[in-house]
Amino acid sequence: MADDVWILGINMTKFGKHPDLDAVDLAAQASMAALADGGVTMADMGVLAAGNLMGGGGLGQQLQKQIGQTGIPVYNVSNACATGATALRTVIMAIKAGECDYGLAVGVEKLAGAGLLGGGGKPKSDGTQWEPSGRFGAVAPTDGRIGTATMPGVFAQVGMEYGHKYGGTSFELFARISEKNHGHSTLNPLAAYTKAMSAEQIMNDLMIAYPNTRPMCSANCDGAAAAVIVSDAKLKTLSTEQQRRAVKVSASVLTSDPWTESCQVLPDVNTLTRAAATQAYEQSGVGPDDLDLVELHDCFATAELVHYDNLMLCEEGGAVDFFESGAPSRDGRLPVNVSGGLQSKGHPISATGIANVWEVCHHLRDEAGDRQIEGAKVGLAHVIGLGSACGVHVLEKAAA
Amino acid sequence: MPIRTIEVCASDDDWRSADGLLDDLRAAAPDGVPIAEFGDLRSTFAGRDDRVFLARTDGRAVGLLGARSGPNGEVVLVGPAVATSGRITGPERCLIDRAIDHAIELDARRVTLEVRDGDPLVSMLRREVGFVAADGSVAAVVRLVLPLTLVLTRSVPAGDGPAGTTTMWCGEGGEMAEQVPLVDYLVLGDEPHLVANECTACGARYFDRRNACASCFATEFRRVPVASEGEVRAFTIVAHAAPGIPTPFVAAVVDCEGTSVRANLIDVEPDDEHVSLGMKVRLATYPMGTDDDGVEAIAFGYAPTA
Repeated sequence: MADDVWILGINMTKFGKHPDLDAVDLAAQASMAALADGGVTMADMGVLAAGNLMGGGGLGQQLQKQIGQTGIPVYNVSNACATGATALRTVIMAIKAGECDYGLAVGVEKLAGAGLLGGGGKPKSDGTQWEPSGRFGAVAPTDGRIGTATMPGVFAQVGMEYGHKYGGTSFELFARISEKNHGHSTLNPLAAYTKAMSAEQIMNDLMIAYPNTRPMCSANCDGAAAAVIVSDAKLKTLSTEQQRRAVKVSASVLTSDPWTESCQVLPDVNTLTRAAATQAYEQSGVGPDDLDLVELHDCFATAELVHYDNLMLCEEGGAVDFFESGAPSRDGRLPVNVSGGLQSKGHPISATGIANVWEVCHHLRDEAGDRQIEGAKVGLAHVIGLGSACGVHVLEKAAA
Repeated sequence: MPIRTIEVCASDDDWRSADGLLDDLRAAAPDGVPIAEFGDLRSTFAGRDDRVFLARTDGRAVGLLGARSGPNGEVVLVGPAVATSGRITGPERCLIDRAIDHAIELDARRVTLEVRDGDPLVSMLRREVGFVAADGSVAAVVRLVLPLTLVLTRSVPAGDGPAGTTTMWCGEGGEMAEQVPLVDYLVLGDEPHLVANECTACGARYFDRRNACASCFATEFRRVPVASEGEVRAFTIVAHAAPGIPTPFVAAVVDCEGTSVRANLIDVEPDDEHVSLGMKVRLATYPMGTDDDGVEAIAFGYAPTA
């Protein structure tokens, strides 16, 4: 077993609209703040992993030109909504491999106003000839004719499938999950949206893909997050203050989806998440009952429900009961998405897998201000990107 | 640009080139992949209306196709056999076009071509020439029957358009009946159904082609029909989609006796009172519209059975 690795410094920018800042600006802002937070500089970094999906590629090198070019290896990573977690894990692997003592992971996205994702923003129209093309020999666009490719629709089915399997779901239930997260966001000054919404308001809002209305969908916005990782050996040489604030990465796991029958037609976000959680609990020696807070990938209200189960926060099939018990509320037994989650904090895709780690670290360091979960010692951050990729990080407060 | 010519074998030099090409192809053919039954070219195609068409690229023989006249106005095509790597877009298309022109000149009623299972020519024919299977179902062309006989009849539009300028073809009977399925795993005909590529080792099913099975890595697949009845395992009612997609519609995953199918639910009101989880549904097809060539595309969905 390789030595522990630690998060030494971490930062996320304000999520929302940043019309005057491009992706490189935002990444630079988060990176420099993470370096400062850790009390280190680019001169210390031995590796840089940079995640970005919507830009033109090569973010890492562009970022270096803004904050410091030192010739270190750069990994530009892309892994759908798990991109940020992949960048983080890339740095963690490099340090665990003994290649360096410090590394910087950053994720950034410019997504404000991006609109519907998954179905493509371009108008769909049939050609003037039915000409078969693509892997299915389709003579015309299939989105809308053979199911839906849009994310709200795909994840709506994910939640509905859970309801079909175990029962107990309803439009209102999903709306109340969203109500919880919007409520949580009122305490997060960095969230894109900080307005509480009632379940009724949520249900009466614009329907996107039943049962997901607009506020039940992750908010497209701009934002970046960055983390400085340090080896255990190096951390021991740093100041007591740095050691006190460092957060231990007890587990860092990335999975892809193994074959399942149904995942050929509807992404199976369950199996790989459960596998990642299982590995993470094994690696860390932490169980679901030990967790003080969880940031999970609520890209849609329908997704949050299934991940209660996939992350084993409840008995198998017990996600509805878990929610109804009040457990995932910030004053409940196991607060979930106290940041407001993707639905209100926002989801600048590649930033998300580091921003959720930032949220957990904030609580473990007792620095979360008004939304502090008192006495938080252990937290879990989860992301999933369709295709699929799942990242789970278990984080622990430094022993005092 | 290489210069390609298609000519009818006439001179001794032509026949020698054709024989030479055929010998090369026979020598290169892997076991079990027979070159079409050309036999001895000059005796197989000895009839008055028989022809052997030879494709040359920059003068070099690269492909041949035989056309033999049969009874009842039928022209039987043999081949094409092609040497170059341009298997799909190469000389086959030109050879077939030329043979069809020949058949038209003869006033042939049917042009028949035998194609073997898995031959990429099948998809080319369907895509580019518009061959339809004998039973009129276009999709049946796709690797369903072994060996497969395609029957093609040229529909002669009013005014007898110039030969070779149209790719509108129809099944026996002469009606303008060409239909294409929205996707190649939808089989049209009397009982429309879906087909899947099933791993012969573990039974995993795929609607697209796979290099190896995602479940067990085996590489043998067979084409199997998918049950047309099923139950709704998940659905969503899409109110907002990409521009150009009519909404609302019901997108669903239908469990068809163990095979998950992604589809729209049709013939049902798109609201949560009429659509429910576990609902029993059955495959149904509907026309999507007709393209500039008069070809009708057929889509599928699942309609409630109750």
